[in-house]
Amino acid sequence: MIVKSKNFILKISIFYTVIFFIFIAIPTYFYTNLELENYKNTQNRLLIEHAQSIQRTIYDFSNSKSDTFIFPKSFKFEATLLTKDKKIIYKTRDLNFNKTSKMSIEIELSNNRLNAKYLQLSKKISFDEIYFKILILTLFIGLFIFISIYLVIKASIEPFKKANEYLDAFFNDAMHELKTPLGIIQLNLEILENKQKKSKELERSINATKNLFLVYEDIEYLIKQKSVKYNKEKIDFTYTLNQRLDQFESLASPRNIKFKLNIKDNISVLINRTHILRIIDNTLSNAIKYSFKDTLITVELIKNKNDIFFSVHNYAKAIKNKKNIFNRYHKENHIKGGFGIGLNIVKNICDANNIDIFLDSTNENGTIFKYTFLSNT
Amino acid sequence: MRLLLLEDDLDYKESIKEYLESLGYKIDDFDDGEEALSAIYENKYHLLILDIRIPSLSGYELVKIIRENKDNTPVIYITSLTDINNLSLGYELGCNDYIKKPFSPKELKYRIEQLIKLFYSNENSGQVKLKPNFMYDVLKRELFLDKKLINLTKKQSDVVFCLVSNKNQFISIDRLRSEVWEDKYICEADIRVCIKKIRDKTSKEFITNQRGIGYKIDSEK
Repeated sequence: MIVKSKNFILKISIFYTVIFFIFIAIPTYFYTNLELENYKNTQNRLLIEHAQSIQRTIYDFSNSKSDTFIFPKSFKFEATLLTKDKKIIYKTRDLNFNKTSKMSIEIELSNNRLNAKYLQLSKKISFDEIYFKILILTLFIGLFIFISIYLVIKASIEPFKKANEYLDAFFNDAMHELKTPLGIIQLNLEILENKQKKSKELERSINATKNLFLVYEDIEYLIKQKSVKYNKEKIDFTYTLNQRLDQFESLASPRNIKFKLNIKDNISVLINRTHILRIIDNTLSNAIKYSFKDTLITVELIKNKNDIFFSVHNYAKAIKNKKNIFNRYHKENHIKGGFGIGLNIVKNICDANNIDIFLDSTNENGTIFKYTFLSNT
Repeated sequence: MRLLLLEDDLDYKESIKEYLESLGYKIDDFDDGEEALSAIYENKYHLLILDIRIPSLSGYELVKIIRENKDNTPVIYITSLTDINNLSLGYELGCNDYIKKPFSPKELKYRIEQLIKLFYSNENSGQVKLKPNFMYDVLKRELFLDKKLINLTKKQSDVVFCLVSNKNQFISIDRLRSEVWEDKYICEADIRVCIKKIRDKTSKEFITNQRGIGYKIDSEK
């Protein structure tokens, strides 16, 4: 009954983290833009500062008497001096800047000895650093959010998990403790039945024990189904069915319900013994429980080629909701009671074993449950 | 038919025992695995009914030990759902069947009968046709000649059962002594007398013997 909680927590945490990312995507976008803008401004300022220093050198040269002009070079900048008609006077070394990652400015120079009118300056710019910064930031926030959500959920689920485990253990123990007394009652009633002449009281007790037994088996199956591996074995279907019918006869007789049998000999099926018993028991006990008084229940077991057909037909009120009756806790008739787990168990077993269920139910023709054991080969 | 029952709950054990006794089986019951094991060494059982969860020595380990010692006595495990389906023990150990707790008494009866029939006669019906014109019912331990019941004493019946369950093969006098007389001291002459009496009641050809090897009963093909 325990949910696979570890996966569950992980899924929920990832889900919330993704949601969180969607929420912070917009502010992150604006923040990135802001950072880029800021970076560009800084770069622009650097360019201007450099341009000014070149300008100053040029003016200083204009005012000096020196004959040589030493152009201030830098690895960071590409500089070009142009005349009035945009002819290149001087160009620094080409630094191979990519067109897209280049930032350029052009400034006008006042009159100078070099006859230069324009100064062009370029600088390499790169946004990598900014993107990297944003990425790191987002990753850290995401990780933080994920871890905190995971821990919070885990901590909040822990008490429920404990309670669930406790409940499971409790049920396990309870079933275990019921096992022996139930077995003893059953055995001794039967011994008593053989010793004494038939009495109503004894017969009722035996029937009640049989019903208790059926409920026990269903509950045990529900509790254990996840922790148990069901090995298949070759089961003599004919034999098993006859044996179960023998058990059910005394449950049917008080309301004068009789069995009409068409069971072919020597039909075997590869299935787990618990599985086949759950199918037979639940189908038969339902048929008896809901049949009208003084009616016939027809039980058929036939083999056609490789497929085995097992069907139980009875006369009862039509089942209104044919789809829902296989759902857990669905009860057609609330007054008659029952756990509503029987058919759900049957459905699960049939799904796992490649067994087809056919159900038809009308007031005129009665109800039929037909199971087709499809051959796997 | 002598069965061994191992079950640690006293009331459950007594109930099973009484139920099976009412069906005509002879039951030796134990609530301790070690004790059951020594009993198996001392006596010849036709079937073992073992609970798996037993203090000291579990039914599972017990079967492991006796199988290692070449004892093929058929076994029915009494077990819970979890035990039997998680361990495919029955098949690993050459065991023959299991029954899930709680079980209806009838189911236990069916399982025991089925197993005895299969193990001792190799037939689903439990009836073996024997030469010449004899028929033996393994479950009831009855021998018929042309549908007429032949009355055998306890020991004679045991000898016939032993030979029929090992039909078509010679069984030595030593083996008869250990399985039928349970190793009690008995001289060969007495065994021969017993065989002779069976032959007198049936026919000369029913039990064949070969000097120095033993006796056998042949099945009708």
